[in-house]
Amino acid sequence: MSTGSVSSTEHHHAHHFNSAEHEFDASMLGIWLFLCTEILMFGGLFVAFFIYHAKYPEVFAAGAATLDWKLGALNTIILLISSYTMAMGIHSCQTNKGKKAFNYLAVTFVCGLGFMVIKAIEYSGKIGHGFLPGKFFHPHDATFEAANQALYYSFYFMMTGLHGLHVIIGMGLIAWVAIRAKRGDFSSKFYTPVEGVGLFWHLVDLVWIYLFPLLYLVG
Amino acid sequence: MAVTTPESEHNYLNHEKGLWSWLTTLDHKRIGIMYMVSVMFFFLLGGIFALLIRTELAAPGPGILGDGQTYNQAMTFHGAIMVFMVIIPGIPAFLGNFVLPLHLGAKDVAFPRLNLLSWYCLMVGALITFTSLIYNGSDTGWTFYTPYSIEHASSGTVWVVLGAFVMGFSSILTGLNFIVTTHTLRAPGMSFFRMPLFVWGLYSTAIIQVLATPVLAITLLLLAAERLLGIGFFDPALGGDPVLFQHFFWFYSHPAVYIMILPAMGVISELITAFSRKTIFGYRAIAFSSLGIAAVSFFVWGHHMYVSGQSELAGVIFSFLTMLVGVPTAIKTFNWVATLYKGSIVFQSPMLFALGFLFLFTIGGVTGIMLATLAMDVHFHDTYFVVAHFHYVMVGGTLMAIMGGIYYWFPKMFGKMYSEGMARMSFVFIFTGFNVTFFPQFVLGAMGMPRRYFDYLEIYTHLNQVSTAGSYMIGIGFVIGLVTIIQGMMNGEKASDNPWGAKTLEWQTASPPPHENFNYEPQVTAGPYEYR
Amino acid sequence: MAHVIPAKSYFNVLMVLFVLTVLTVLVARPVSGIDLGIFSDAIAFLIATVKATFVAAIFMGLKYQKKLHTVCLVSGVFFLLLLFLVSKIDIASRVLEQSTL
Repeated sequence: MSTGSVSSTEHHHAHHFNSAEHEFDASMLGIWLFLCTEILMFGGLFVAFFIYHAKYPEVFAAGAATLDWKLGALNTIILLISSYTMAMGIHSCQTNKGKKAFNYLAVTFVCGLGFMVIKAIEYSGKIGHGFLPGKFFHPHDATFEAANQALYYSFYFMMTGLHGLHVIIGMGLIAWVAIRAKRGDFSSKFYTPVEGVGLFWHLVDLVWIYLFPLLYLVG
Repeated sequence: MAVTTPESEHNYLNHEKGLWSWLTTLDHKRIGIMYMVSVMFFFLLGGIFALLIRTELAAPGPGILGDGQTYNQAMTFHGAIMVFMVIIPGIPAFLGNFVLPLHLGAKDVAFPRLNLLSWYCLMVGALITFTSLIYNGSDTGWTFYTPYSIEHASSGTVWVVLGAFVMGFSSILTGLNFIVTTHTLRAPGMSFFRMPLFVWGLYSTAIIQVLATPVLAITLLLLAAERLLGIGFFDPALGGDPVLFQHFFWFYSHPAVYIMILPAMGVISELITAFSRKTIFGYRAIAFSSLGIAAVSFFVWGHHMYVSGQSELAGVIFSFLTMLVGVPTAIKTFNWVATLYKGSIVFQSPMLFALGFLFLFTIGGVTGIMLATLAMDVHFHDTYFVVAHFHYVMVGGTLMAIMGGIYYWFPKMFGKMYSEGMARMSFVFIFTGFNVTFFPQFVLGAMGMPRRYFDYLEIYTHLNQVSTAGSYMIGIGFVIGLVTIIQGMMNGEKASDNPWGAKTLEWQTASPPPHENFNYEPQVTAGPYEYR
Repeated sequence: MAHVIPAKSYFNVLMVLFVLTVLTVLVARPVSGIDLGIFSDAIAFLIATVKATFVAAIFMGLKYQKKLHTVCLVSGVFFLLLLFLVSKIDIASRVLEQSTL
């Protein structure tokens, strides 16, 4: 996206753009197009979810009952807070408080970490009970009515798994821009990478906003 | 605005030397050439599989490919290579990468590093796909239909699926890059309606690449998860619906065929105007029809599924919508013909391919309408009629456009001229061979010969022999073409900056162009085809 | 470069999102005992969409950016809807003899 600068002095925009503003506008359009592709990719899972939820409501109800909605709600709050701190991180760069941005980005990172910890707890619970996707489904201590109960856990793991992967990638990106922020790379004149990472992170939040009610609550 | 620079010593080819400078280049022109080499290589491989198939089918009974299992693997690889490694990247990533910034008067695409990344995605994806051969490849056909692809298919299937997944990112990144480039890097004075029609074609293609390919990504991911984890989305054993797989798959793969043809149509617009020395007839109609085709292409995917178990209602809806997509396509064809009318036509090799396109693509398009008709498709589905249809549009259409485009932009890319005589010979072999190969297949299909079978009934023998003979002719034609290009690159006569006397911006800079494309800042004051 | 959204706006939106999250949980049957029957799915989805709109408009800044960016977001959703609707129409209109599909 840009050749980037290595010091806290002026950012040099790439040679094929007229100005930093020009480059920023192009980068923003590029990121939004990328987000569009993410919506379509995750969206495929949601489409399949809605189709099978309508077909086998009892499977999804029984599956949702084995999830702890409190952990799901906690994770929702964590991600919402992280979206706030992410936005404040960008705000700090825009108002020339680049080093303060580091603090906000660090909190965002920690939120992401907290999310993954809770996820790990949930996953280990599922694994312990034998609630695994598809052919690995072998419930130890519970019986289910539907013969294809495994289908619910296929959805659970595919959706939260793909989402979790994006959280991890997001955390990596946040760490990267946080380090650059601490180095003083960003200012009101240049903060494109933070904006980009921010938009990606908000998308991760957006997906979870839908995942939470659909997987945990709707039954 | 025209600048005839003296043959510049300093151009993008000698700007830096050495293999590493190519593998780490950020120059769209070099990346375009790298795509050219890759795509040509993959085309050769896919072509070898095609010749193996045709040789097997020269006579009934088991032949060179032994049995059905090996045949199925060969036809899967022929399809997967041609679709994912040749026709989808073919024009956008090769010709598009080289020409788009030049057409816009820009110094590069918006995101040069993403551009390089997209080439690596193609190469890594291809490597993953070929790794499947260690595990007996895949025998599902390039469409990977469930439930066969879940349990019973060859163990290499996951590799092919994941390879296609990675190659999809190549396509997405190219599309993303082209959209942003078109929006943000046009030279001063170049409004949207002063852009060459090749750009409109690439832009419409890019929209499809960005919107459709991610759905393929999730579909392939789900298929891999089916094989590895048994998730059951498409497996009846867990209450899954195999037809849903087809909905997901074709939601991408139908728009994908417009990824294949829209850039080709863009090339044709360039060739027809340049070689009839006349401005295009109906510029806005062609521009809007490109966008129109891109949009409507998303609404018709079910015409691949009429006999899959899809409901009749869905079939009727899709059939009607598919008829609609023929309209913008026909508009383009009429406009090209109207451009030719009273033009000063020269039959140089790029023009031969453009005219060949008009003829072959029309046949392909019209047979597409036949297939769109529900009742007829029930008879034609999974027969050689379909095979003939899509080869007419993909080879008779896209490949002819690639060849025309390669010859047209050859002097710009390499600063040299190829042998016109050899190029014409390649055309004759390709065009004739193509019709000999594929026209009989319409008849075979109507007679009921099924596709994807290694064997067939005696009554189909004669036409199959004709078809196979044609395939060898095509092979010869492409070999001549390859020799023409290589010889031109090595020993060709020096070419001037604008050997064709064309009006678009790439011809107003040196051949080959300098590293920064233009030694001046292009100022656009007129449309792209101001011949007369 | 881009419009600077005041920090207060971000904070206000966060509060709104918290409230909506509480509402989401209350509306769902297993939790609060409130039973909206067949509407609970649709209402949960609707609330999620309101939350998503706030995130997109303010946190992501869509409200103050070029319309083209909103087009990108909406196109993604639109084509997804298309895939869903047509697949659903197919599945719903199949005439089955003796099938479990």
